[in-house]
Formats: sequence, C-alpha cells, structure tokens
Amino acid sequence: MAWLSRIILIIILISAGETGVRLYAQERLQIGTSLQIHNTRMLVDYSSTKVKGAYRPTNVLFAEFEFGKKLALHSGLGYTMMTQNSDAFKNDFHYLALPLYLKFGRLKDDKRMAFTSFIGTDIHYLLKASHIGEDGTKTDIKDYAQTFHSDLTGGLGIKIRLSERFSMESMVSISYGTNINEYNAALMDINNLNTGFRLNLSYKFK
Amino acid sequence: MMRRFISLLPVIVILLNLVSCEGEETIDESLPLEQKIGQLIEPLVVFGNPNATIIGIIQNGERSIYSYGDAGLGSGPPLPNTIFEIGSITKTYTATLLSQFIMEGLVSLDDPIDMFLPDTVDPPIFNGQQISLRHLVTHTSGLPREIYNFDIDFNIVWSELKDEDLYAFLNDISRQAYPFDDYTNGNELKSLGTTFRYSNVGMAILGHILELVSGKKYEELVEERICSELNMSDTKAYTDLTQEQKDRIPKAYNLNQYEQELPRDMGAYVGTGGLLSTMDDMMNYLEANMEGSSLLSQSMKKCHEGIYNEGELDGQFPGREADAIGMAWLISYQGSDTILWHDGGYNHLSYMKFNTTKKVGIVAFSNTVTEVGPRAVNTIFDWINE
Repeated sequence: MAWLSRIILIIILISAGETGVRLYAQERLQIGTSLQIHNTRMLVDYSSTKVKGAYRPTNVLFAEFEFGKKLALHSGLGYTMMTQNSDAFKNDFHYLALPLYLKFGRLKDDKRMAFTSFIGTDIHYLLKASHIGEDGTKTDIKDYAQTFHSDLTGGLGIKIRLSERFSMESMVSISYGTNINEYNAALMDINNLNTGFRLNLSYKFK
Repeated sequence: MMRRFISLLPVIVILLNLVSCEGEETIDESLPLEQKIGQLIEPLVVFGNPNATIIGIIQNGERSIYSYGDAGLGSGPPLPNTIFEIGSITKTYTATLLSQFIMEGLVSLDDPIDMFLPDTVDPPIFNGQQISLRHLVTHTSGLPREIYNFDIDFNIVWSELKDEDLYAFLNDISRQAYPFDDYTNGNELKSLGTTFRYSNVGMAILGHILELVSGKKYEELVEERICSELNMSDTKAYTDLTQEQKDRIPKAYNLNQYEQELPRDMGAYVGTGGLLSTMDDMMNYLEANMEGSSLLSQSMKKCHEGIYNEGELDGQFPGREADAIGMAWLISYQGSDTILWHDGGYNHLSYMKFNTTKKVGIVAFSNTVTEVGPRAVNTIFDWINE
C-alpha cells in the first residue's frame, strides 16, 4: 500500500503546482510559512481522558489558492513532531508534514482583517521515531510506527493585512488521528489529539 | 482541472486515511516461540502498554521466562525475582487453603458462614438459606463486588480495612437499603447460588473465615501451607515483605503511563487480592497446580473441578470465555482439555492460565494496568496450547 500513498501524494503535488502556476496571473495565489506550537497528546485507545501532553513544533511552507468568493485551497510541505509523553518514557515521532485544507474566509483587497477557518487533513510521512526510556536511553522505534499517518484537522483564525502583499494569520487548531503505531496484533491502537496555535505569514502574488 | 481537483479532494482525503491504516502486521506462526513472543510484546512495551512485562511459560516440563521493557529498578527488564502484586490471583491461594481445610475435615464446602463468624454478626440470608463457603468461593453469594459502594474512595478503604469492617458490612447489608438495594431487600439477599457476581468482599470474608477456623493469620496460612512447601520465599502480603523485598517492586503505571501511588496494604482484603510474588515463585505455583501428587497439589486440583457451569447461573462470567467456575478458578473446556485462568490487577497486572490436560501454562506480570496485556497473554497461551 505504500506505493499507492506515494502515487497519491505525487498527484496532489503535481495538481497543486500546476494549478498554482496556471492561475498565477489571476492574483489568487499566495505562498507563505506557517509556524505552529501544538500540545500533542497521544495514548492507547483513548479509553481515558487523563493524558500527559507535550508542546511540539510544526513548520510548513505553504501555497494557498483562492477560488470562488470565500474559499481557498491550502497545501504545503514541512516538518512536524509529536510525542507520546508519560512518567515512564517518551516516544518522539518526527514527520514530513503535508497539509491539505479547504479554507473559508478571504481577506479582500479593501479590508484590513478577515475571519478565517479551515478543515482538512494533515498527511504525515514518518522520518524518525525514538523511544526514550526513564534513564534516557534512546531506541529507534521507526519499525513500530506507521510510515504514513493522517490527521483530520480544523481551525479558526484572524487574517490581518500587513501590506499590499503581505498578511499574517493567527489560528487555533485541533487535529485528531489514529493508527500512529504500526503493530496491531494485540488490538492496540495509538491515537493522537493535538491542539495548537499557529501563525501564518503569507505573500500574495499580484 | 482545479474544479476536478476540488471535487476529488474528499476522495483523496479518505484514501489517504485508508492508506495510513496500512501495515497491520501479523506474526509468522512458523517462527520459534521466543521470536513470536518478542514480536508480540516488544511493540506493546514501546508504546507503554504494558511498560514492563515478564512472562513465564511451562511447556513440556520446561520453564522459559521472557522479559521486556524497563522495570525502573536499574536492571532493565523485570527479573525472575522482581516482585509484582498478583492481585486477584490471591483468590486462588484462598481457594487452595479452603480446599486443604475441606480435605482435613476442618470445614465443609456447604457450611454456612454463620457457623464461623462471631455471634454479633448477622449475615443476610435468602429464603431462609444462609451464605455458604461454596457461595463465597464461586462468587455466587449474591454479595456486592466491594465492601462498600464505589462512591466511597475504595483505595483508602481497602488499605484501612479491619476484620470488624467485614462484620459491620455483613450487618449493614442486612439492615440498610442504600447502597445495597441492588443486592438485598431488608435482610434478604436477592439471589444466592444462582447468579455469578464477582465479589472481592465475598472472597475477603472467606479468607477471614479460614483465619477464624485455624486461629492463624491469613498470611501465616499461606506461608505454612503453600509457600514453604513450594519454596516460594518471595510470596507474601506487602506488610510482611522485608525492605530488601520491597526494593524489588517496580513502579506501577496506569493505562496512560501515569505513575500510580495506590496503597499495597490490603488490610482485611488480603485474602481477595493482597499477595505479591515473583515469576520464580509463581512458576513453582503453576507447576504445583498442573503436576504433582502431594497433598498440596491434590488440594489445588480440587479447586480445578467445576462447581457451577455457566448455563446454571444467571450472571455471565466476567466478560471472558469460561464454561464453569471452580473454587476461584474460571474454567474452559476444550474437547478433553481443561483450561483454568485467573487474572489480577490493582497497581500491577497479573495473569495465570494453564491447561491441566496438556500441562502447559503461562504466568505474566506487568507494571501497567491495561487491557492489552491479558489479550497478548491469551495469544501466547494459544501458541503454547496448540
């Protein structure tokens, strides 16, 4: 199944790129960088609400194409990290992140501010995974984690114009995903629930 | 192109989510047992479910011990002499003691508990019939699961429980409605000998009755009648452990790997879940349950005989596969094979399962109370029981 996911990713990237280039002249394409700090909470089966969180970063370079009156397609590529945090150990997961969002709300040329929101999925490709024991011993656990993993995500924010071409967007977001772990023979499933705050700085081609 | 892409977006998202579910590996059944167990347990330990575990197996008369994770005692994985709570497996010790008392003619299975308790205690009855030792050891007494309603902090109550609290409970359940209205109507039980209802307090009362009959503390009975014969020097109640033994107890974690600080002194609940043990000791206990002709082994084998079949009782066995209940043991019949098991969980998790016909068995301990551990142990048992 790994080959299928790679093909899908390539299609998405090519489609987004081709579309972006073709519509460049229509002044609807923005590029930017997104910085996020999220509280990552990972646990087994979500059978309890008491979970130890850990603040981790996400950094994504993105492109956003506006269409319709208020909609935009947001995608990009970057890095994110999640951690299963506990009193006994930590499991760190480092991912290549590919967001794919449908955004609502547009900052019109004659406005300084707009409310925005988004829903979509964060696709993660596992780069590295480590188990850090109580005594600090680090073990590679990449084989025990899913190579591809995706979260359903959504968020709300405010977009503020900084200049004719630059704008800044601050957002709160929430994402949920399952199947962090590869291995399921004992019917164990590691899930994640992330709540985050992000700042997007974007440049609009005119 | 763009519209097509947008319309395909939901499909792509769903596909990606499906793709992310790939790779649910299955274990190659042809691998040697040690590799299979490693493939099963190691990933669970990585994700803290359980965090540290030790598994002991007796198969073809040989013992094997497999250990994973970090017990947090400075020596990596749990050792054969690492001390864990055996929790409710203690009930099988209580049942073994009862079986010995029956063999020695000290008590009879159908003796009413009223015979042994002080005159000040007035246990509830059912249609004029009294609760008997048979009812207590098979969880059919109609008594509640715990001594008091769970609205009360049972973690505190357990560690402070005295024998007098057991007496007060038996009197209270006869005289008070709430919180016992599910169990009694006035001083009448709502069922007796007809419904399976797992009762920690019932087994604690049985343990105390054995003390009254023998004039010895429960811990002494276990030591004299079971542990000394089986060379189990590390199997004791928490209060009887030396400091050196207490230093061999790993930290305990809950499902989400928060360190647990629950009391280990079970007070008057000792006969229902108050013992601790090691893998070395429990291997001796497992072996004695499966083999041997000593009086002790004979008393254990009496506990393996089904007393109530599932169809005879209203209540289901506690969410697991069982065809009958013997003296504390849950029993499954597979063809001509008899399989017995019991688990335990408070701070630590314990599990013991064996086939008395094939003489194969497994004991597992972990320092994390989780549902996954028993499932994995059942998988391993199926491998050795093939």
